[in-house]
This record gives sequence, structure tokens and C-alpha cells, in this order.
Amino acid sequence: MRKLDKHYDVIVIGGGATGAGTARDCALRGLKVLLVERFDFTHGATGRNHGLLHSGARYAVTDKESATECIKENMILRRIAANCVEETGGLFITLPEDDLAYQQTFVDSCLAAGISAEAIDPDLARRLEPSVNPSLIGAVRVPDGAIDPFRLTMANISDARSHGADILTYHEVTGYIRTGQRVEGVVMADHRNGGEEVRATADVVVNAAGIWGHLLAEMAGVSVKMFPAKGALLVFGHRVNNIVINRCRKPANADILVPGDTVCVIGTTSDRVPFDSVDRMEVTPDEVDVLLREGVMLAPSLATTRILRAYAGVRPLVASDDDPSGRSISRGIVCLDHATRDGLEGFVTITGGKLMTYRLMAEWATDTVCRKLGRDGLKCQTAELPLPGSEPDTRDFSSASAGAKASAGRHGTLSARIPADNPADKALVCECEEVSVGEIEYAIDNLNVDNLLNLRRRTRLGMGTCQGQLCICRAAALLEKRDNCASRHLRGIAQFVNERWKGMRPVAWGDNVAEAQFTAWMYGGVAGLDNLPPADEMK
Amino acid sequence: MKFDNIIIGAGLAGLTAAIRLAEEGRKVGLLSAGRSAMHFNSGSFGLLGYDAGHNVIDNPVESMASLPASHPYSRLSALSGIAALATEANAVLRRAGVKVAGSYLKNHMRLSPLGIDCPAWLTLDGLLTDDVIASLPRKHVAIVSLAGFLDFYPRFIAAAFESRGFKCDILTVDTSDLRRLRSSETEMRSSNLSRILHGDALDRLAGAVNDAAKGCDAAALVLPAVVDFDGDNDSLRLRQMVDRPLFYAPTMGISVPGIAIHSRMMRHFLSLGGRVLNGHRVIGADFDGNRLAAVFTDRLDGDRLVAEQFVIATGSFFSKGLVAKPDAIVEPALGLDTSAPAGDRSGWFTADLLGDQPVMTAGITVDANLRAMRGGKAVDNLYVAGSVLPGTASVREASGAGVALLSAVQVANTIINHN
Repeated sequence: MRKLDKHYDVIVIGGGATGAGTARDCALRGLKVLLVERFDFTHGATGRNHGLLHSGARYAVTDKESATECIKENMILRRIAANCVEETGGLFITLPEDDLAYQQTFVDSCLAAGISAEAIDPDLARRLEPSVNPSLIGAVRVPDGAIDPFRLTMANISDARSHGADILTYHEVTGYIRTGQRVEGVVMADHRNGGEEVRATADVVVNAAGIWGHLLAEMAGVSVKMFPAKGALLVFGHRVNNIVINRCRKPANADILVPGDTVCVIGTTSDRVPFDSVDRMEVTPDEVDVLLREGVMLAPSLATTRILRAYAGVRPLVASDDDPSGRSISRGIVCLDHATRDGLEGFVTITGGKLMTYRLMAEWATDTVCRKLGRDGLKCQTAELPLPGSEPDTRDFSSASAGAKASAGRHGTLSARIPADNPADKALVCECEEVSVGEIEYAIDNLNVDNLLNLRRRTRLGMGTCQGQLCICRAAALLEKRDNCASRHLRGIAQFVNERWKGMRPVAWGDNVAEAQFTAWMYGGVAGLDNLPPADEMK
Repeated sequence: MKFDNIIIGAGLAGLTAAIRLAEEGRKVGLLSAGRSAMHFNSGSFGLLGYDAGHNVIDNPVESMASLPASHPYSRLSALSGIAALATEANAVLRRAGVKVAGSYLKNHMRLSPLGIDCPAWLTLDGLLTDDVIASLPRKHVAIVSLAGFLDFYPRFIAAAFESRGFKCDILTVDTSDLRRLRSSETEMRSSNLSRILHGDALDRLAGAVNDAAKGCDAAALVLPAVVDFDGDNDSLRLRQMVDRPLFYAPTMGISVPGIAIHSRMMRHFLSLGGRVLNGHRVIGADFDGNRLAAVFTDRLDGDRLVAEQFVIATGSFFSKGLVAKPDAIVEPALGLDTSAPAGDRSGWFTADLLGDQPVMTAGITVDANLRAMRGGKAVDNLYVAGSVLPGTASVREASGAGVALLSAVQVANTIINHN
């Protein structure tokens, strides 16, 4: 057993966008913060969604409160997270089988929620977005966009850390330190040290663990009735559209197509799943069929575009009534001070909401923490202060290398810290995503990277069209240089391969089968990794 | 165009069949659709490396007795016997100038690019095997990496030696030639290195290796296999210039030894008067009853390619010899019958990609003489060779090269004996 020396003002549980945002907000307000994550950052719903910068239009008709929150946060994120946002714009299209009368209701509701929504001629829509279903009979322009949740979360983590926050990944909360009806800290298992017990104390513990927050509340003896709603998505190997395309109807399956980097993503489905399944979400053939069928309605060329992979996340909705899909549950934010609600001191749950409203969720949670600490005077600054990397960039990239441009895209102004002084630093490890040796060294030193999977989440290494055919061995060798643990990194290659395969298997036909066979041949047949047991990321 | 024999596919199986037929004086046309899988071969051939439980096999021929009747080796065993085919395949390689060592009665272990032991039948001279390692006089080697080259992992190779009780030094060498190549951030790749490390540049590399190893009393040096194994055989010349025993470890991805094997075989075929049609993908055929009369390719403007006998050796999914549609496995060139696992695609794969994958045993359905089936009937003059044969999970078994070589020799002999 190990006990951390420092006593914290606040411990935040959860390394998704909400937890990272809360840690940043607390740290900016001068609180002593510890953030703990049982796995790696962005491992839950933060890393498994559309990457859609919602305008809020989707909820305007059915959930005005969420719609209003979305549009406000949308405008804030364009300012503070410029490096994570792509201002693509969005279209809500009406197809011949849809009710065109709904379009007017939709536009009216958007305007009432403060969302600019302009009905345009279908011809103009076809010119603005050539991939759109040409048979559309109506179109509305809204300020949707794309957002990179991995970058967004890491920017929050980096800023929290530079304002004094301590961060622990692969530390799973297994219990609380309690005195009577007061939570005074957390008991954790350190998965990178054989599950060693680690204790940390604080005045307030914030449960920001997404769907896992249900279990963490239960562990504290309070009940937050959550509703795990699985959403499945497909990534296509080509950026078919440049503008977000939505279906102008009540929210339903697979009616949003979002462009992001060099790909596009169709989603989602929404189905209630049992709590005991949330750690092993797999996409079923039926979900693939639905996503494809509906996706083709938005952009017909998806029918002939290669599907790179399928994935699924679980929305942490807060249950309200008996709704089998969760579609009608509000996406509104739920912030609970369990002292007033349940008589349990020192424990706060922040949940509900969406990726879009992570900052506001963090603000509410931090406000609650400050009130509990008796430090109400501390002002929230996260709506104004740009995230690290998102400050205005005045550098000239006209003669920069491909790797330098790509890393500036990923890390914004922080890329100035990436070593690029000599050819060895500039050599490209991942050619699809243009990740250099220097960027990998930077990630190892600054972004909590010690295996290929967290390297992928920080740099996009292995996420391009070849899905990591060669770069992962190069990267494994670079990681090994740091800790001399050859066997762990060799097994990490097999683990990486199977992690990619998990996404490919539901869509394994055509070129994906050819690619799978090639991968099995290179890493199994030629390299012999099938003779080693794959690594477990938790260990 | 008219040939005696047309071979569709210029990988290991297609080339071997083409060479055998050309050696017998046949007029042979070889259709190549693109880059061969051989370019990724690390310089070793497997015959049968693993049994059904993925245990390493010691004697491949002995272990073949327990393979199912549908396995290509069971068919080849019944047709000609494995020993005869393996001996003949080895002779074809030798005549093509591919210098390999190994026995079909006993697997050896090759060292993979990641330093992992893998069972093999034949390995190119100069590459690391367990026999090479056992022959070293002292348990001390030096792993020599080239500055800035990322596809060679000296620490992973060293770990393999250390697990055998060796002391390992890791040395890095640099030359003006490497520095020039490095100035572009994507140029330090194995095939580019093999292109520049000739003549004086090779001399400079040898000098740098000798300098770096001075004062180190390693019994042998290990370098990445990035010098040419073909042509003037720079790999041999470097071994002669370095002042102690030198062995090569293969690299990941495009493989210099793999390219060398392919180009030697290709040159041998051309020297026998063979004709290669590069970049031709077969897109259709004329059948005359149960005979294949002619094939068409995407590059011939309606011109027919006519032959007495045909061999189809188009490889598996990776080489596009087979295509997985969402609901069926098809043979795209000639519309031949295929065998695939029963049921829908959810039964094709398992969660461990490097484990057993049922769909990988798919292939073109054949009769006892390895003739392709079409509409339930054997095509009289169309034979199947290599990975597109059904009943073998060649990657998992480490049998791909063996099946390619032996089935190619078999179908070539059937064609030769037919006339």
C-alpha cells in the first residue's frame, strides 16, 4: 500500500473530456487537483463518438435546454479550442420520404434556441456539398462543425498539469476513504504496478466517470440512475463530405455524417445495453447494416466507399422515464452534490450532458466544488482562456517539412516544442499521418505515453489508411529504447493489431479481408508475434 | 497471342510452374497483375511450421500425415509424394540461383525481423538461423544498426540473443551515403538502402562497420538485410570485406532478400525464353465446354490469350486471387467455384487476428488432379497452384511457400506428362 503525501482540495475521477475539463477548471481556479483514470485518457465515450461540434440543431425540436447549451458551447469552443475544431458548417436535409412540413418546425425551434438556421434551395445544397443525396427536397444550413475529442481532452490535461494538477492514468478507483457520512479520498489499484493499492486524500471527490459513474456512485453508497445507451458508428476510408450532413427529422438511427481529418463517420444507433457489457462494446452485423443503409440515404457514394472500421461507445444518459432507446432522454447536464441530495459529504457527481457541453459541465462541477470548499469567490475562466495549442499561430509553415505541418495540425502552437533540429528527429515513423520521431519523443515525455495504444490516441500514429502496417514496429522500438522492456513492447504490437482488428472485424469483407490477411501474415507469419501472448493494456 | 501454357499469377507458385514448363521447352506466358507477395518474404520458406494446436513442428513431412484429406499436402502426397516434390522444388530454386539451406525432414528456426524464433524449411544463405547462432565460437555478438534506419530493431534482435545467454553490443554506423539519404524524412527504407549500397558506398559501409567493431570482441556481427542479395550479390561482398563473421537479420515490410529471390527466379524464367506480361489482370475468359480456350486481360484490347493448358496461381485475398463479398467468397478472374466456411460472414473470423481464422482456408475448389472446378465440373486444362488452393491456412501453418512450390511443381509435371 502506498499513500500519496499531498492532500488535495479535489480528486477528479475520469480521464474523458469532462474529467479533464474539470481538472483544468479546478487548477485554473487555484485548487490542488488530482485526476485519476483507470485506463488511458479518452478511453470511454470521449474517444468513441462522432467528433461532431453540434450546433444544437439536432435537439432544437425535442430538447430545447440541450440545444441552447450546445450553441453557446459551440461558439465558445470555436474560440478556446480552435486547434481542435474544424468549421465545416452543417446541413439538415429533407428527403422525399420525409415530411417537408417538419423543416419549418425545425427552423423555428432552432431560432428560438438561438441557433442560426437558414432554409436554402436544394440546388444550392447540392452545390455546397456535392456528396449529398441529390434527391433532397429541402435543406437547412446550421453552424455544425467537427471537433477532435482526443486533442481536446489532451489540451485540457496539459493545461491542468501546467497549472499544478497531478495526473494518474491506469489507476482505478476501487473504494473510498470515508469517515462516517463523509468521503475523504479514494483507494486505487495501480494497474501498472501489479494492482498495488494507492490512497489519496482530498476534501472533495468528483465523479466524472461517464457511464462508469453509475458504478462509482454505487460504490459510495448513493444512487445515480443512469441509462447506458450504446451508439455504433462506422468510419469510411475517405472524406466523402466536407459539410456535416444531418437528416431533418426527429433524431433517429444513423442520421449524421461528419467529416474529420481524412475520413468521415456515420452514426449512430441508440440502444440500451446492460451495465455489465459497457467494457466490451462490439458492433453487430445488424448495426453495420443499419448504419450503411441510412448513411447511403445521406450521401449515396458511401455505398462504394471502403469502410475502415466500426466502433461503439456508451452515452452516460441519466434515466428519467421508461424509454427503451434513450432517444427521448434529455442530453442536459446533471450535477449532483450528494451532501444535499443524499447526506453524503465530500462527493459530487457530474454526468449527463455531451462532449459538446464538457466545458460547461466542468464549470458546474467546479462551481459546486468551490462552494463546498467555501471558496465561492474563485471565478471560472475557461470560457475565455484558449486551450494550450489553440492560441493564435503566427508561424510560417511555407517551407516546413510534412511532419512539422502535420504535428502543428495535431498539437497547434505546442508543436513548437517538438524536437525537429536534425534529420533523425524529422524522420517519419508513420507516413500516413506524418508522425515524426521527434513527435513520438515529445509524446513520451509530455503526454503520458508508454505504449502503442496511448501513442495512437495522442498522435494518430497508425490511424491512417494503412492502419499501422509498419509504423507500429518502428514506434515500438522507440518506446523500448526508453524502458528496455522488449517483451512488453513486442506483445504491445500484437495488442495494437488486435485493437485495430476489433474495429475491422464487423466490416471484414472486400479490401478489409485482404488487409487483415496481410496484417496476419506480416505480424504473425513473418514476424512471429503469434508465438507470444498479446499484452494487456492494464498491465 | 498463343502459348503452349499460360500461367495466371507471377508469385512464387506461378513463377515456379512457369520455370518448370519453360525448362521443358514449353512456350510459356506468365501474367503478372502487380507486386508479388514475395517482395515481403523475409528470405525464408516454410513447408509446415505449426500443427493444428500451433505447436512448432520438428519434422514437416511426418506431421503432414495428420492433416485432413482436403489439405493441399494430402492431395500432393497422394499424387507424387512430398519428398519428391520438395526435392524437385529445391532443385528449381538452385537452378534459378537462389541459394538456400534446409531440409524438408527437419525444420530449423529463423530469426524474424522482431527477433522471434519461427520454424522454416529453407533460408537464404547469410540470414540468421538457430544453426548459425549455435555455430558461433563465443556467446558474444554485436548488433550493428544504420544511423536513422527505423525498420531494424537492434534491441529486439539483441533480446533474442540475450535469451540464449549471449552478450550483445549494439553499434551504430554512419557513412556519408547514409547521411545523404537521411536528409529526406521518408528515404531511409530498406529498398532504397539496397539501391545506394553498391560499389564505393558498400566499401565505405564495410570500413565504418570495421571501425565501429574495433575493440569489441564479438564472435559475429549482425546487420539488417538491406544490401542487395541479387545481381552482384553485395550481401556476399560485404561479408567478405568485414573482418569477422557477418550475418543478416531481415527487416519488416518490403524485404530486400524477398525481392532478390523474386528477381532471380524471374530472370531465370526469362533466360529460358519465357514471356512475361506485366500489369495484366485477367478479367474474362472463353470456355469451350469443359476446356478453357482463352483469357482476356484489362490491358489487351480484346486480344485473346490462347493456350493448351492454363495454371491459375493468383494467390489468396491479399493478392486478390480471392475476393470476400459481404455474403460470399468469389474467384474474380474466371468465376471458378470456391470453397469457404459454412454460414454467413460472422463465422469467417475470430477475435485474435493472429490466431485461427476460418475464412483463410477458402480457395478455388479442385479435383484430385488439382484442376479447377467451374459450375461443379472440373475444367479439363486449368490447374490450380499456390495459396489460392483450398484447405490451408497458410499463414497460420507457415506453409504458404511450401504449398506454392510443391503444388507448382506438381501441376507443371501433370501438364508435362499429359503430352
